[in-house]
Amino acid sequence: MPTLFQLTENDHDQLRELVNIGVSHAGNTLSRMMEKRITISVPAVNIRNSETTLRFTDKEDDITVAVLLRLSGAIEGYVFIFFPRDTALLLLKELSGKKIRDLRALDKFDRSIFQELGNVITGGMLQGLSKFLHIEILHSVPDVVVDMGGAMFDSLSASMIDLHEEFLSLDVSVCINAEPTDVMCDNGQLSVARMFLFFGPEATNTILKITNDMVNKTVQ
Amino acid sequence: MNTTTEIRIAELSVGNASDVIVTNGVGSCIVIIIYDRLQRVGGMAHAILPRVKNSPVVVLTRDELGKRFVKYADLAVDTLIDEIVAIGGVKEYFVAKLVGGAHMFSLLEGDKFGIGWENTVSARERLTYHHIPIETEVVGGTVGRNVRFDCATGIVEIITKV
Repeated sequence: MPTLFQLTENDHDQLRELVNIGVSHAGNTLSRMMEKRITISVPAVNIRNSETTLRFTDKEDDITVAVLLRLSGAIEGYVFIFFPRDTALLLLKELSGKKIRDLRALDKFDRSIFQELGNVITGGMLQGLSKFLHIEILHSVPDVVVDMGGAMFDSLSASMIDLHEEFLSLDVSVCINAEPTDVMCDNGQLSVARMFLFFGPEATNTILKITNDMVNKTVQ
Repeated sequence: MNTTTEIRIAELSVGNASDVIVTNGVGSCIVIIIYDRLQRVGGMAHAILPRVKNSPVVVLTRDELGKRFVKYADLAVDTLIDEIVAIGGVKEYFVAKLVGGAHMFSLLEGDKFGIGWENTVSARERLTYHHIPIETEVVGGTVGRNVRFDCATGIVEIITKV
């Protein structure tokens, strides 16, 4: 299949750096909100299409919480924040003091906590990206879904491939309450949330044009 | 002893009385199951998009298990028919079952209809075109589903978690 994105290694590096900047801002905001130490993993850059759809790597039929936000403004895209079962319950306990054992028992108030988490994380990230790229990016009201992780990835893949035959997926893991010696979130056990950014070809080109111009100016 | 084959997004597999086909985490995709109760052969497809946009599309074999790669619901119906006939099925005896087509994210899919609905409509239309009756449908809603199809009996088990 011919790829819409002919990304060079340099483009990959720029996109990874961009996610680092955005997610660091988000981590900073989250850290202040929760009064915990936050670390993030090295971002992964992938081109997705129907043959390389998003795969849920953990137990795909486990119940999880996901928050989806639409980005608009100078670039369009989606932010998908994914909380595995145990950490979703932990976050709920930390933020509202409420102890429940089953995510299916989340009520309207509990869901609004995750909406707010989505707002805080995405708002922080967009603030960082907007400052860096000198463009305005807005986000929608968060859409919170509680269901099997695999089914959510299935729906996301279908909608994204319907919109764009191919799309860019940037993802990063977030760790909360890491040890003081930890400098990076290691995608494994400590990870409490996984954040994805999805961009179509047009948005990707816009981002890369800005970052390439910045690099060229610096070189000159 | 039964052989269980798992298919993922955009995959298709067929089998006989000794086979079970499963697919997990079905959201807005549509799972199409066609079965010949007399010959006890059938197949399952996990289609991601409603219709072929640029024809002709070549249906590729995915792996050594003989799974096919079909992302469109209409082409999945055509391919399932051909593949089941190839292992001894008789089209006149075919019945179909549809599962999936959920509407999980209103932000992505709008308030009422979306890709899940379009997938369901496309599969229905193609089955009608081939005069294959739809015996059962568990489609729509806002929940994800796991699907297990026993080719020996034609029984389809659906698991939801919420």
